[in-house]
Amino acid sequence: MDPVAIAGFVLFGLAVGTYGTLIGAGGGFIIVPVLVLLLKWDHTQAVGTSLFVVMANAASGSVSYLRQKRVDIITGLQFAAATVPGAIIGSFLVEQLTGRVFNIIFGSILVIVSLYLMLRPGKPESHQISTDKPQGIKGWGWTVRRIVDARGSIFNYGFSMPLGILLSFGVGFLSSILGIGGGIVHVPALVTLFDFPAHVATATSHFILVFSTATGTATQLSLRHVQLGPALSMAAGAIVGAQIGGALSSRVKGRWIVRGLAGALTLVGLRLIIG
Amino acid sequence: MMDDTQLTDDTTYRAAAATLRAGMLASFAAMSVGLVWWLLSGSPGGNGAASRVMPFDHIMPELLSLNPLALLNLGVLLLLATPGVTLISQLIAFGMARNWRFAAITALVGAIILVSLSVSLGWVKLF
Repeated sequence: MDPVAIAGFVLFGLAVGTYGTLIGAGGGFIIVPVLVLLLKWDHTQAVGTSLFVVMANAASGSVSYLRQKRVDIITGLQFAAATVPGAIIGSFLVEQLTGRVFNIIFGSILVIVSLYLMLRPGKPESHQISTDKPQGIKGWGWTVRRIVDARGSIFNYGFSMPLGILLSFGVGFLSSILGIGGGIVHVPALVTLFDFPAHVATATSHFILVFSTATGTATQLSLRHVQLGPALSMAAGAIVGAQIGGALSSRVKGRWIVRGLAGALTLVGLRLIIG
Repeated sequence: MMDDTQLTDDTTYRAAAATLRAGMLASFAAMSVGLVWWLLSGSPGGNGAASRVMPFDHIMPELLSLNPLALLNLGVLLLLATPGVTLISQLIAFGMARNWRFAAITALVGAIILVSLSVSLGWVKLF
């Protein structure tokens, strides 16, 4: 690799790390299309290399978010436990579910969801969110959380743990089908369907990615689908970018984080529709 | 209704952050030293050699025969091991706080990841 290419990958990793960490995603939704469409990489090499960078980004971003005390650790661990098997089952069914029609339908759904998120990016932060147990299926396995972050901001929220675990299984499944980490699906779902405060959702999603991408990365490495030179260059940039994204996150309102996510969802949706 | 308010104390946050940070630092230190060592020894194997991932079981023998690329690959392995070590640190933190329910959940997560890893790496055949 020549020095200009290395510098390019480091800068790209820096940008991906900053934006990805800010919105609680690993950045695979940007890396894979850039490697495949712009640099004409083979798809399997692009996905393998991207997963490696996502894992490094998630580990670095999680350090920043853990320092801010915005990660719901125990929920993150339970959701991670559901995401990993979902991803494995998805990887067995990927051939059946990635036809042209499926991609157009699913891409269109993502674009519609992203438009909805841009127009209605969720409730104002934390304090107005009710933790009272709702009726029906939403109240099944009702779990209440109270997180006080390093700045003293209080986040109270409640959600159905079994439904959250089911969602995480679905996110793992989709991440295999789409070849991404899954953060861009997890965060909007946690915010809109489960009333998570946006800042807690992004931080927890990043923490989940550390564990959910480890299995995939190990598999991709063993299959030799990772181009180590570009992967390490991008990871080095992403690790620094993740710290910047984590620091920026405390200065950005939750509604704008959700809008940033909506932009990412639009990218993934359009990529699926265009093919 | 489950009420788990204020469930993760400072120790848990500090343990998770410290383990992740240490894992990343150790990993990137090994990768950087390996890369510089490889460049200083005249880039044996050419540019392509540094971009290829070494099979995991070759890393230790190659390291003992002073192959700089084995150190670079050891860094990759350390980065992969970091989530597992973080889980262990969480298990210890919850155990020290005598929070047995959360310790059990963490152990279960570790077991699920280990089984998933075994399946995806082909150590265990499902079908």
